[in-house]
Amino acid sequence: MTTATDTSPKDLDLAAQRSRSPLRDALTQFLKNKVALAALIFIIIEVIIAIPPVTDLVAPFPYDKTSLYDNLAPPGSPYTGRDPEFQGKVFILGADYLGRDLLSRTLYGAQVSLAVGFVGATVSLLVGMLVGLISGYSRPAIDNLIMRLVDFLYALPILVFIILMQVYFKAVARKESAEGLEPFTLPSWFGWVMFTLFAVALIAGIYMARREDGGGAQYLFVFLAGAMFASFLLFVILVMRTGRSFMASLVEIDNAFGGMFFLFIALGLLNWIGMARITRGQVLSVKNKEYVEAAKAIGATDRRIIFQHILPNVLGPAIIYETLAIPGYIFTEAFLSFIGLGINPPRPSWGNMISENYQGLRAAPWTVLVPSVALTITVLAFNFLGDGLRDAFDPRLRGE
Amino acid sequence: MLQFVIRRIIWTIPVLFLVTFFTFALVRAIPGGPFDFAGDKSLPPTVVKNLEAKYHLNDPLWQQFCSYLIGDAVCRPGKQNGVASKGVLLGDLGPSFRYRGRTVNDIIATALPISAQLGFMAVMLGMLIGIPAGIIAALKHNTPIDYTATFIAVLGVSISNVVLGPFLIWIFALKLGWFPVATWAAEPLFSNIAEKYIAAGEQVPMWVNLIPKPTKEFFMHAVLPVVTLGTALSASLARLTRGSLLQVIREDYIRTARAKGLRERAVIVTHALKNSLIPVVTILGPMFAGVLTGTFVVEQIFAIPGLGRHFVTSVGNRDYPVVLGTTLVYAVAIVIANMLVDITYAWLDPRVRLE
Repeated sequence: MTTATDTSPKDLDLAAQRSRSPLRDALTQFLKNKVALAALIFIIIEVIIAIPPVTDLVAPFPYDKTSLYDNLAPPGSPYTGRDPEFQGKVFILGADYLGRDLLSRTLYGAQVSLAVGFVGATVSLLVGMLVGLISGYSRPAIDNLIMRLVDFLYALPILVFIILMQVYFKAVARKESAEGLEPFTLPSWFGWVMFTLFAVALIAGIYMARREDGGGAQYLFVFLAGAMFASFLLFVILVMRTGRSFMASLVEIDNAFGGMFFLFIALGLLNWIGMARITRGQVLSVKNKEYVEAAKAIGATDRRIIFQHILPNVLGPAIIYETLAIPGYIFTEAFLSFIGLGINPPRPSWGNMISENYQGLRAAPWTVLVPSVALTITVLAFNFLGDGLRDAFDPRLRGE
Repeated sequence: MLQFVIRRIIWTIPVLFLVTFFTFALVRAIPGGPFDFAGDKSLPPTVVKNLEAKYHLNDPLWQQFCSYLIGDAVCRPGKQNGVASKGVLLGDLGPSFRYRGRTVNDIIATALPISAQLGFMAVMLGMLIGIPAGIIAALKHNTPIDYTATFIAVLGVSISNVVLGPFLIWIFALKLGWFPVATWAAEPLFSNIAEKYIAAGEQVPMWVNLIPKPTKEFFMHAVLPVVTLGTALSASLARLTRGSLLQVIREDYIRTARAKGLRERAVIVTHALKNSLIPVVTILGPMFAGVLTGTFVVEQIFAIPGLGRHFVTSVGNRDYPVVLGTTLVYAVAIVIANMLVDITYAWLDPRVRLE
């Protein structure tokens, strides 16, 4: 049994390399789709701008720099405050009711929306795929149990629970900060440790994924998830060493993220259901295919079948599904910030910018227009990208 | 089929129980209580203590949960000072802690009809525009009509309610002055019945509030919120219908139908459309949930006193019975919608029943 696993059919691999792989096919198809390509480029540029040091560089003002002389300044008006550091600068897209530069705030707002979109998608992808794989691959009894749980979560009014959890987290945070501990500051080496961890995970993951007998992209996922978990653990340990409780350390993490961390948890805990259903469906349909049966016949282990044969088949639909789900996460964040349960002011998010300014819509429409356009274009780009990916990976939709 | 329906109905019971349980646990875990503040001032401790005693908030939690579910008579025998509850099972959702003298049933009887009217009209708008648009786009595949429709639909799903609402207000209410800015203007159709209840000092029952009088004022107030809520719906329905019909049109049985000489109209209407609507039906369940949550946003933007607004304010106020009651209403609505969708699906696609 075990000896058979090791004789991996090299010549078959070679044959596959000579023929057109489905991935390459899809890629060619995707590159032909100009709109989706433009959307992808837009998103990449936006992501680069949203990397914190880059945003600091690009944004003309800090997001919380108020200037009372310039409240509701229309687009293009010069800075008239007294601060020498900002003399000669221009409010390119105008200023809000506190005289804060809208362009800068919108750029910082991109950090929030993109982070929520990508983290929401990643968490839901990982959790949903794990649950779906387990459910689809295990005995019917376990499968049934998991699917009943999924059914139950499906019947939950998700947004109601997200709101409840956000209120809970905010109230806990307020209570913790009212207890009057000294504010926690991260040691400066933490950022570097995190950077190294992720870099190592990325390089190791890519190396493993490129190895001929390697399992493919799943190592990348596992390593990145590991790096994420390790830095989370390190953070919690650091905070708890100052005498805080576990909950308080979570609150500190949330503060470090400007109120986003609890949003990630609330979104992640409740949004993996669709992913789990899709993965399970794919597993069930792949499980009985001839090549999986063949792999079983030559004695492949369960783990090998899952990682080598099933996962690559599931990954495509999963990523497409998550790309198309990102707008949902971004909308949820915008709405939560709109009702004051999202990002903590003064840190800007497009949702709380709209909510702060829409009362003054009549007098200063640009204050609402700028974040609205940013939100709409970003979501539009994700929708175009998702559609493009789906069309490229689904041969039935090609041509004709 | 009957067995399927019965099984499906029984399955809703544990779901609703667990929803109630989790909401109860979560809302009680939130720090702070319902009597922390009265307006801007905080209440004296003795008053808080008395109020908490009145609403049994000092009892063990399991007892509170038990009496919330099946009433004081069972779970608190003999000590029914203050307000006696009959329990959720008998339809008593308890008193509101914040709105003195009003029960949660009263609040829901006034607020739910408003949200329901808003949601219903939005779904109608969504289906009336979305499904025909999707069908036309699919039948004119790869023509300018198709491209335009597809583009508008992508744009429609990409505009958040949070964006669309304020802008519709700005353009159509503030600039053009065609529609009122905010609030809801539904009067009950059977106003004589409603007046009888009001004269007697009682709560107007929900069904009376549910049916609006079709006045001009009602529709003028409704246009902007309904369009805000319905745009995304019709856009996503159009996308879905188009995709599904395009797939069905390429099936073999459509070619067969054409080959045997059926008129194009018959092929499309009786063969293609019916099958292409199956995925559309399955999405109606999640879509309904989306409408419910959409009403949160729209009610907030347009200052409509519906259930969503009550929910958001009651969580902030720690008004436990209102939070529980509204959550339960949402859960029941979603569960019923999902159930109807499943049953319709089983009826449309016999393979599902056999599973």
